[in-house]
Amino acid sequence: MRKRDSLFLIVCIAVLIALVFLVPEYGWKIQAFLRSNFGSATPQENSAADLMAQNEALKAQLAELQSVAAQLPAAPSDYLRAIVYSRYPMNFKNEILVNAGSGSGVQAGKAVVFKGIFIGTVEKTFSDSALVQTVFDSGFKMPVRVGQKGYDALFMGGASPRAVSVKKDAALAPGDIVYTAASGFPYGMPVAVVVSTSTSPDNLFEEATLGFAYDVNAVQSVLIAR
Amino acid sequence: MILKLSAGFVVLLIAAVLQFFFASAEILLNFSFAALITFAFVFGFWELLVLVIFTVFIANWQPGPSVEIFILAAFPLAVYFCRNLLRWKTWLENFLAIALGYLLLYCGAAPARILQEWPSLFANIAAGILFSALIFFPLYRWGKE
Repeated sequence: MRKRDSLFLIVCIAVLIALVFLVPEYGWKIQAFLRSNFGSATPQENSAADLMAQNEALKAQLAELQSVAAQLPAAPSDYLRAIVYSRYPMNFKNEILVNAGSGSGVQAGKAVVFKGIFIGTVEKTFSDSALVQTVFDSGFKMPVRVGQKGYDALFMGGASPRAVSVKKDAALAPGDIVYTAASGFPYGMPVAVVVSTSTSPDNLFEEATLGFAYDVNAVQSVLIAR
Repeated sequence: MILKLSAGFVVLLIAAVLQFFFASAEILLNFSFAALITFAFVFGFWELLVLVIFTVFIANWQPGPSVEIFILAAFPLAVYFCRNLLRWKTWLENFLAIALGYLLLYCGAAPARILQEWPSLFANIAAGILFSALIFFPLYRWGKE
């Protein structure tokens, strides 16, 4: 290799190492640019998703009012808006990095909300950013309730999240809202809707496949509970 | 050298675009890793290092370190040093390295879920080998010229 080539490569390596360690946000911006231009939903799809999200939120409100209104605390208002910086690039997890961290008062374990819908929890905080584990991460689990009767269930995250361990005589139906019922999160926050129901492989419980009113890959800003 | 390195950057950008395109259809594939492993057979060490750090810059999604990014960066470099170990056909070694690389990535990133994730592992290996085949032969011939 010629001396000039070696020098060029050494400069490239030094510049890239500096970028990785000093200004990783430029990498996130490139990633976001590529993702938004080649990998996210079209505006029409987004507006349809908006309507579905509103519908889901209204269904959740209806379920709350009809069955659990007395148990609800005051609507949480102490939220922090954050912009999505980057996303986990592989297929093992579903995480997003947001631009609010411990310096802004974000704490691990807090709920993260998109258009009134619970989408995950803060997993780890950095000084200026925080890592959010979304409900599409296969390691995500939390207690939820389903439908107007509030059947207890366990939400299992993953590429196709499910609500499992619902008692067998529960009258689950497509369209039933799934909402949060876990300690540490605001009660009654919509998570998903039931798409279809089935009996568990061991024949002891009912379970449901779930539908979501948003495309997690298109989420650009979220609210984080303080 | 600059032309060949530029081709490497273009391939990595195409890999990233394909990855995001398939991800929008909920098909989660990792073409960048396959590209880097292929580069280990066609580029010199310093060129490979530039491309590996560039990929880390684009792929890293958080300020801290992670097992996935470590494997993504270290495995192609390890392949570079072991590439003549088997003395088989280079393309075969390349495909074998890709299969081994994805297996290592899955073991490192999701060891507890590897049994549930095996269809995704095989899909990634197949897609990685296919992508690699598309870039390996032109780049390899270019390197020989």
